[in-house]
Amino acid sequence: MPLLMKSLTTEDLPPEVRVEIPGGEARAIYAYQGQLLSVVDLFGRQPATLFAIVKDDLREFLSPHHTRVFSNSFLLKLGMRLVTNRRRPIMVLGKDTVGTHDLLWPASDARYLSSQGHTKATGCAENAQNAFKELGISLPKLPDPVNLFLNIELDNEGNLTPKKLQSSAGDHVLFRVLIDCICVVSSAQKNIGDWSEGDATALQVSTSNGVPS
Amino acid sequence: MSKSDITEHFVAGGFGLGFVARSGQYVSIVDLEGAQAGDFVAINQHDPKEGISSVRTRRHLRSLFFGIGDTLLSNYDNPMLKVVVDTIGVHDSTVPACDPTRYSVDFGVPGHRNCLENLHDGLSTHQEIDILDVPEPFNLFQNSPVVADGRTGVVNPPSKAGDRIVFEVLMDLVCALSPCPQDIIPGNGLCPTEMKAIISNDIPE
Repeated sequence: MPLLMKSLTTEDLPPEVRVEIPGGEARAIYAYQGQLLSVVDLFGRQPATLFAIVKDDLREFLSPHHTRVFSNSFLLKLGMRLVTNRRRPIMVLGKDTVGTHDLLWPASDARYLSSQGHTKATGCAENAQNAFKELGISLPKLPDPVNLFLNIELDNEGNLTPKKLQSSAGDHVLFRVLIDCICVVSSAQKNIGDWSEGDATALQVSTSNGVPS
Repeated sequence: MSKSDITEHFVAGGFGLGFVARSGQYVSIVDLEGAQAGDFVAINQHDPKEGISSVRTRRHLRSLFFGIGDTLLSNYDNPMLKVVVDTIGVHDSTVPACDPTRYSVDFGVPGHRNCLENLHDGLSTHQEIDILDVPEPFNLFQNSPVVADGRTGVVNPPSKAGDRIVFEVLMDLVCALSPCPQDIIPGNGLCPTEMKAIISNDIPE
């Protein structure tokens, strides 16, 4: 079901896709205006690193920095618009069974993981780049991510403290998509530094034309 | 040291400047009239893909904020600058540079001067760089406190005339400074004013 426009669309609906992301890997998915984009933590306590690039202009992308200033909020809250580096809403957080997400932390990369003792792991940055490349897309710049399910406590003095993840198996977020985009979701390593959560586990990302379930 | 070892640049409010600072030197940014935020970025002089990184510095410091003794990191997690003097202690590294869309989309004012283009122009005078590669800025003297429920809002800086922050330079850099041209909402007292950048071989008196 597309958005409720004054003139009902007669065009074909965009394809619905469901992808499972193995632990420690990343996958890409196209999401179209009006669709619902879902990210599910299948096994619990698994950060999902989200990137979204505007389909028609790879130089415009979801930006956590512009999203914060757009809503004057360091934290991602239900109902907030996620905006691009050109301050256009690209999706809205419409459902959230967890409530703890992050707009402040970088994506991991191999260099950082190596400094934390993971000498063989690739980071979300490399995994995301590869997921875009598999679609034949070479990004001019990999933006900073939105870190779904990642729990970084912020106090009033600005201190940031990584905390135990709150999500349980089946917890999920649902976004209403406003700009056609290519999304990549990466299952982040979670046994580094402050997090001792075991091996990275699988996520599911999907797009739907239907009503929220 | 002799005076010839000091280079001073005055940067008009709302405009920008780029300059080179070499490893071992010091960069001072001075708020000449007070209550003026200065967007500041730095890139590796020898590799424009390596730039100062607010997100990685934040992970390193475990804080939104930075002060004396703190090291600011690049997007490769390399040390770029270290804060050695800070007379005010109120700075921001979370708010993106104002850009053409900040004014055209948010306020309906196309064609406004903006920090992103000021910073890009400044860096470009010394190093060719894609505007997409201009790092997210460190906004010196900008006041973006954490308020209830993780919310924020930019308010006018508490800095007074002469307040300064001094960095030790830890790699050869091209830097850019943009005394923010925001004159529509609080942030610079509605009146962008002049700042000064000093490059020196010792910490200035």
